[in-house]
Amino acid sequence: MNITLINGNDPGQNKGFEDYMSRLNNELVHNHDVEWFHLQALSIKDCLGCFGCWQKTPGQCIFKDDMASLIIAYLHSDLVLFASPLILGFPSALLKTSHDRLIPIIHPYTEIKNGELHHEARYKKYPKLGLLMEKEVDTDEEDIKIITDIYTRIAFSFKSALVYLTFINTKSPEEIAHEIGHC
Amino acid sequence: MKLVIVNGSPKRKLSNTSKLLEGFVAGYEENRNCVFELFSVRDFEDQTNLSQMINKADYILLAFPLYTNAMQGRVKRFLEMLTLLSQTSKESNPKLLFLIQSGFPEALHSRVVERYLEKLCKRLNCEYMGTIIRGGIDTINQSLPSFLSGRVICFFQNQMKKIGKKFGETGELDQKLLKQIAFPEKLPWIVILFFKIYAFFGVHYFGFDSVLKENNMWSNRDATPYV
Repeated sequence: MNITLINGNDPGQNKGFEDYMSRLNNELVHNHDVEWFHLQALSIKDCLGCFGCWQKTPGQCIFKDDMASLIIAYLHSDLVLFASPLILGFPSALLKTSHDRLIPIIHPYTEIKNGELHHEARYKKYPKLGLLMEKEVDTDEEDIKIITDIYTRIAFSFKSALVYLTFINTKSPEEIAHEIGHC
Repeated sequence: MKLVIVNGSPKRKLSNTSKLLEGFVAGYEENRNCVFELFSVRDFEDQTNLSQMINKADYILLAFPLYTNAMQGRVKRFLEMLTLLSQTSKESNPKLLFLIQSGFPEALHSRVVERYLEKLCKRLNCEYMGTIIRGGIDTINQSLPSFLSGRVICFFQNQMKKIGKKFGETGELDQKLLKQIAFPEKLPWIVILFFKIYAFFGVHYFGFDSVLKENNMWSNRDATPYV
């Protein structure tokens, strides 16, 4: 399976997470084609909310930065794995910025899905989504429920489903790679 | 009462978030001894101004547009900087309140992140004062002629004014007013029915189509440049 791993960790802040992701990557490459994006090392600007990608250059962001290659990999994947340690009960700002910049892949037109207003699809096929996180000392069930609910909605907005969500704290990279293989 | 308002929209003063804030401030300022200072989240790209801002605030109102079902990355970065509040006591920390403005009209799109914000306040040792939610301004701008959309936005600003006035008086967000401004929580069946009829005839595309045509991009509207 084609997997894109989008790592929103800051290695300067959390080396342990970085090492874990390298080990996970080493496991995944045995059975999958993996493309790895390290957001900290890339140039990805904050979304300006200009709607240029819907109104001026349909499907394309006005910024010419590393997000273009990330979107190409994203759309050619079977599974996209977002990865980040939790910071104040939510994945990193770095990771969230990469979600904000995904709006060129959907259409400005709206439709009603599940009785709610949503945007239509722009592409025929979208990858399944997964989320890998590291708990903080105080992460509890309520936090996990909130994150799951938000990412379920994010996946739905990007015409996909959240098929995998886990924490690296109590699992080995081998175990996680095995579970991902069944997604 | 000293209120610090932080606008999380990248469009700053031109934003829909800012339009709602204008209403809030107009009501808040009607009270005596109620002062405020307005910042953009972009004023805090480094830590220097942050402690100064925190020290002078009794309350911080963080206002932001909903981006992909949550706060924008930029706003999350600002929240991460607020971690320093968790080092100080609840009594000395400012109280926090929020405004979420979403493109879609239903409040339900913002409800999950509202739960996140409430939990966040516990983490930061700050009292949670509540969240104002108003959706649909972008939808209104897209689908109504400007003289009508202007009126609807004015109506929302008046609702915000009432919330701001009451807040200045009591130091609290009035739950009844919050419920009123958040309407509709979800789309009423009659709206869904009309939407489906419009969609059948393709009329609901009108707003976006006219902008696309203005930009000479209508024929290119379904472009798929990344595959």
